[in-house]
Amino acid sequence: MKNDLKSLFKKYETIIASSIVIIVVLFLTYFLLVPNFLKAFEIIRQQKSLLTKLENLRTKDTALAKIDSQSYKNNFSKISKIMPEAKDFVSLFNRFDVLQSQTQVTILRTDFQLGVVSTGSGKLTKAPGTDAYLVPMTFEALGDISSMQKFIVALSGLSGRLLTIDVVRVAFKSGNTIQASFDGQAYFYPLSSTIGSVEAPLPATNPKSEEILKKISQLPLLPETVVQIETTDVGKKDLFN
Amino acid sequence: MPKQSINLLVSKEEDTPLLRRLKKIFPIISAISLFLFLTLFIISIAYTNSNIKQFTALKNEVDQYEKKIMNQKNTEGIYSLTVTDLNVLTQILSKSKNFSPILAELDKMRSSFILLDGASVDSKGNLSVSLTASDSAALNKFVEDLTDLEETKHLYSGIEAYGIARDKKGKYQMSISLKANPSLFQ
Repeated sequence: MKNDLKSLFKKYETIIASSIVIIVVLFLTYFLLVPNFLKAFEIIRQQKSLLTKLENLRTKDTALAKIDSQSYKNNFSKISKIMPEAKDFVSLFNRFDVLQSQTQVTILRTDFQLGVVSTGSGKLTKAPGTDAYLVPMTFEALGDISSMQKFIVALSGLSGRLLTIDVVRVAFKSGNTIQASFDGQAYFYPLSSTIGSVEAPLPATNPKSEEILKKISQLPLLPETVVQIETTDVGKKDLFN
Repeated sequence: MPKQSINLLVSKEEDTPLLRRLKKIFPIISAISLFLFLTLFIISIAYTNSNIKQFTALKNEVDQYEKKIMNQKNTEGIYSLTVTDLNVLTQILSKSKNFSPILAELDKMRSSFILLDGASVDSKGNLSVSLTASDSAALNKFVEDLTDLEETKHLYSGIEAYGIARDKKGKYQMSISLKANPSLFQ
């Protein structure tokens, strides 16, 4: 029996040894070579994505280095007055006061849709074709034609709160005086509280927005309006003195 | 007795042709596979080692830039907010209409013979005017001038007149609706 096995082994020894080598190679290929190759491919893939990321970061860093931070801060404060983050009715009233004095037009009446008084007024409506929200309003003004023209141009002139008009109704009074009623809207745009990720590119501008920025940068910084509250005597605080 | 020879050597069994072929092929295969494995293994180790250094350097550079940009997040913030607001303002202003020129045109319609009672115009260019003419000649002249503006200067289109009435004093009241050219809103 033993001799048979021996002779059998001797007969097939070459094949057995070669098979053992092939099996060991297959085993090592699966457990060593393939993981090595996968690691190498992963490194290549990550290198490519790192190169792209590095390029984006370089571009962003170069762009950030060119930005005049102070100039943008000044312009941003002007833009916030043109289109604030919230409805800000105070700035609307101030705007009409300023326009009255600048254009010699008399504002007779203003109607706003105030805050969250009802479901209708509480609903935020976006201006069609834009991302800003609307504050619908109607107002009436009295003045001569040239003053009224100045008034209309100044409404969307970026020197203060932006107002656009949808409908104008004009009644011609005596002489050159007209009484105009306007249906229009002011705008507000709540800003995001977060900026993009580190590798996100900076938002792009376009020629039109750069033109608007140029106009805004030439305007003077608008002073903060301080509301002086007058104290009123309300009577004795102590009834026994 | 004659001598007899006994062959003590066991004759070797002849291998089959298949076995002979397998005995040639298997060692070749095993040698080639071993050689290939060792070569590829060494290449993969060498490539990984050389690229790890490059990869680490690249990662460090990326980290440095990220840190640099993080330190400028105030600048990035103010820039992003400004540009976002500007883009929204651009959207609004591209849709807004300037009613000042149309007001000038309405003023031109007036004269000592034509009194405009009222007018309304919307952002789509729909204009309606109500007027009083001192007499029929003045009314005719007004209509001719308006038609001329429509046909030669193309300032208006779709002119329709309605509600023409003559009062006791011989004055004519009329309402007209027309479409103003978009150039009148720039």
